[in-house]
Amino acid sequence: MNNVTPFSPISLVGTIALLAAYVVAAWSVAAGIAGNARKSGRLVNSSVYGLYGFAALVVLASVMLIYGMVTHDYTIKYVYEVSDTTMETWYKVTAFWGGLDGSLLLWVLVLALFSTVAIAVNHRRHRDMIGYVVGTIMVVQVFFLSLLIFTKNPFTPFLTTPPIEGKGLNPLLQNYWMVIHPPSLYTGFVAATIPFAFGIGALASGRLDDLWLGSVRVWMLICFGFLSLGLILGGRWAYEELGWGGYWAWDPVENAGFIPWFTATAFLHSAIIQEQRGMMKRWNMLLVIVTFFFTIFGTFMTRAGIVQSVHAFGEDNVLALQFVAFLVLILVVSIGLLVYRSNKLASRVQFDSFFSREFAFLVNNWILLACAFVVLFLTMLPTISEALDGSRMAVGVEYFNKTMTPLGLLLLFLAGAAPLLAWRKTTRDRLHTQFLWPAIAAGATVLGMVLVFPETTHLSPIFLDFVKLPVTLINFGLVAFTVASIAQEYWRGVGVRRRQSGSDAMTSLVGLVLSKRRKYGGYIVHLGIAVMFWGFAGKAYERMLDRTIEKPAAALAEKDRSKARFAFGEYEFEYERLIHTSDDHKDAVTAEVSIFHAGKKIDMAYPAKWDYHKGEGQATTEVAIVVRAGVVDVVRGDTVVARELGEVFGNDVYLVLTGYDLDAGLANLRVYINPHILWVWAGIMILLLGTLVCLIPQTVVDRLSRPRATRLGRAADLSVVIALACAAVLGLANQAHAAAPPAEHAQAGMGMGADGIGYAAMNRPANATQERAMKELLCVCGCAREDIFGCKCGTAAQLRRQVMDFLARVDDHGKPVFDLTTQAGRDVAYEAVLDDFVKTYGGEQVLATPRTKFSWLLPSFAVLGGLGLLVAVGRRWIGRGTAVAATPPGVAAAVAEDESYADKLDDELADTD
Amino acid sequence: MNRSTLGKFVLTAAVAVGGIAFVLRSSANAERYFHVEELMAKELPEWTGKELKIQGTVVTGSIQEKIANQETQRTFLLQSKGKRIRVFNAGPKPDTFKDESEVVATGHLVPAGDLKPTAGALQVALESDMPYVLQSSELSAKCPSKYGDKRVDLQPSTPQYK
Repeated sequence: MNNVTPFSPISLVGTIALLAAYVVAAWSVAAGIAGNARKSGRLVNSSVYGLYGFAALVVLASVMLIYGMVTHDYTIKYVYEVSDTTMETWYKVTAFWGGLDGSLLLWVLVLALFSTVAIAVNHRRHRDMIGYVVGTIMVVQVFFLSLLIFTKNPFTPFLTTPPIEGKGLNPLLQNYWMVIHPPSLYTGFVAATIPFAFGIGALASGRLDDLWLGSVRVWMLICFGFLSLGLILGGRWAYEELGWGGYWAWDPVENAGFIPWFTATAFLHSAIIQEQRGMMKRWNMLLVIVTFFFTIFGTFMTRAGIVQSVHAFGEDNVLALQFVAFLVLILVVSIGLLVYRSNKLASRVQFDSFFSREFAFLVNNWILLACAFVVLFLTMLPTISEALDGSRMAVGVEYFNKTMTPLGLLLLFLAGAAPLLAWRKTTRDRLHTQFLWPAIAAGATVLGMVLVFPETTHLSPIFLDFVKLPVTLINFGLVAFTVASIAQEYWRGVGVRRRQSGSDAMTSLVGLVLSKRRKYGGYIVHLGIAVMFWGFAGKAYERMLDRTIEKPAAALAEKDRSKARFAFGEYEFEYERLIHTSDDHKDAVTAEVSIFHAGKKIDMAYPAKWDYHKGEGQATTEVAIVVRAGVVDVVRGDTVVARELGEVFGNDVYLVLTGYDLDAGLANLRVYINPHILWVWAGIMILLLGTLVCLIPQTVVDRLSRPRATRLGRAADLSVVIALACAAVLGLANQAHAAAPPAEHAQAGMGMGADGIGYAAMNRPANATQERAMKELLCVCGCAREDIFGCKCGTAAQLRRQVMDFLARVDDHGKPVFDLTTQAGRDVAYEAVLDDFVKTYGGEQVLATPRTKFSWLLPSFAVLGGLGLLVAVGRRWIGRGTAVAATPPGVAAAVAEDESYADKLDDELADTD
Repeated sequence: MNRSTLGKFVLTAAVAVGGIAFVLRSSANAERYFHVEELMAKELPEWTGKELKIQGTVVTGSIQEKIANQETQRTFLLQSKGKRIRVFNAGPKPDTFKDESEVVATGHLVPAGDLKPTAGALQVALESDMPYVLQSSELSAKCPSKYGDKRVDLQPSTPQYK
């Protein structure tokens, strides 16, 4: 390719696909709007099919770009900029959104896919406005596509001889969280376009009854879920990859995702008031518009480089101008339409009382909006101040925290209090009965904290420096209040359902949640928020220490080893040695640090610095995180003096190698002890579970509650749903939980494959058969049944050598015993090495998968038992259904009551789902 | 005017007043970013107690470092357009921190006398014409951006978000 004029079929096809998509999008805009305005079904249909065709073209373009990355087509400039041949295939795929051009294409792609689903689901239901909806979506697409085609075409080829190797992806982005964080946040951003399009469709068509609200709420909920997920994944990435010990630093790009999160959350609450009481219609429409506006504005802030940030893409004035024009267009059109239809959006009723749920929702809306604008203002402060007086002013993380903490605590209180209030008006008696137990729980928690952990009474400033409150104590109290309030709501709901249906608690709980998914799913979200606040409180007890250790313990005489040690909090650290390794991609310097607790060695940590050969300069920080959780006694000297707050509720010991001197063996270590952080990850998972519950479609519930021909059939349905829910939660848990340090992090192999010099790096497999056998053989060192492939001890290294030697055996003529060139030969070799190990170590305990037939019995029993349990639950449920059907007329009244029991619970005016 | 309308007015007024107060106060509380000569042109006592970011070039030969009790202490002179200020700092430093490097030091102004013992330990004589020195918690060294654009990256001494 070097000496010929560059020609890339990939670039050609990609560019043509984008151009064709552009034409189709423009047609869809015109056809959609004209179709609805002229009431032409054919034009509307044409715009809908245009949207589907557009999606197909964008998918083609995206596939082409990824194909270009994977096949190293460096005639395409973008491929050259963000990838190289040595990157793992996964990162080649994710390099798709590693630069500005590709990330714009990702936006278009995600919106195309989302809108296809949204339109396919809704296009019959909203026939008289769907043209406007398609038109609005496609206007957004035309805007992004025009950016892509005219200024940021990812398929632009080199006009001269192309390079033979790419530049490679920014090392900071070569992290597995980066694989899922940007698409997730983008999906959240993009999902806000759908409610906006429906809102504009409703405004334009004048069909402003509550029908549009149903479709909009679902999509706003999806937007909320993905934004939450995207934000927390970004936090997790920052925590692991940037090495500053925290997960949230009010970085402009994270803020850009947070601002629409606030307004989307506000909408989700005020939409309920509109459904229930017919109020706040204009407000809701405004929130939909504002949320969408902020998603575009956020993209503008970060993509056009008007704020400085760790992952902003650099300044670009042309792009900034295009964005400003689009933002103005959005505001003028949507606010214009809103004013035009203002009369149709008038509220039917007024507020009755301050002690009503709708008023609590209103306050919640104000605070969420205040949060959005405070964050927006503070993020933009450097830009604003520069425009005003020329000096670039910035506020630090502390300032954000001081301002946002009280707002957050108010929201937390409302998350617990609002569900306790009734619609319209809460009577004095009801206030008393509803608030009694949550208030007691809060009081007891505060008292307990003060007595057991007096440090929680520490005063910290909020808003102004001289306004000081025991913020963490208030936080703990409010967390307890909210959890108790939600528990009480569930308890009472289940109680009422049990009385009316006569079923057991578990069945009632499932029935309750399924029949009022949005309400009880929403409470689960509140619970997740409360758990996250529990985690946030740990921030106040975060500790940090810098130490410079001149010589590692390995280089010191036994009596001088203490010089390589230092104590911090309830831990002691010993710097053992500095390890230098290198591979095709990078040089790595890793410090081996032993961690002691109460005199006992509890773990090893390997903080490192990786210097990518391509990165030119700054090394990436590979932090080591050791999660400590559970009740652990704190020993000072020989006596247990206290239980540290952090240890009781879990904390992370977080090590960073901040500097080193390879020749002298010197290492600069920074240690953070971060209490409670795991609750932040746990909270987000609960929040996501709640969101999923809210999103369960009615058809699924109908299918579940429809009497099946057989009991087994229904039990099977139920078990599928439960299995799916469990799988989703477990999958998320697996992603977000900090407990298992991921393989990419500096482990004993230092993430360097075979090139480390620790035990784990010794005798690494040289071929697939060795690796397969090593993964099947368990280490005999006494570890928790780890295979010798993964176990970090010396024994495992020896056993690995044994495997390698066994497979490399030669017969008397010097010919290899095992033929590893054919699959059959490899299988024979694999079996032989396992047999040899079983013989040598006297039993099948060395095998990860025992061969004895009996070994399958236990798991099989477990599976069958689990199924049996599900069938039993299902039968009970069905049994209840038939019992109710067979009840005499007198009891039928009670059944009718069952229908409205939840309304009685909280004086709801109409059905909520 | 019924109760609800009045409530709306009161609420709106409260939010507006709160917002304005907030903006006014924000400017007083924000971090300030100066070059050394801009800072030295000001009334220094007024700027103590505020978080400052000061930019300048490290004076050649002025870096003094010492490790004591596993802690790295250092001091150096930062200069810009002929004006100088002494900076004290402990802990990690950026990889590109050296003589003549562009540095942004974040910290507080303190009376020079307060740091006499530290200066003594580092074997540095405090300048008589500098009544205030900068006690810095964070050093960032400027280096050419590795992302290919015109921007200049700030390389902090410790990894962080900004």
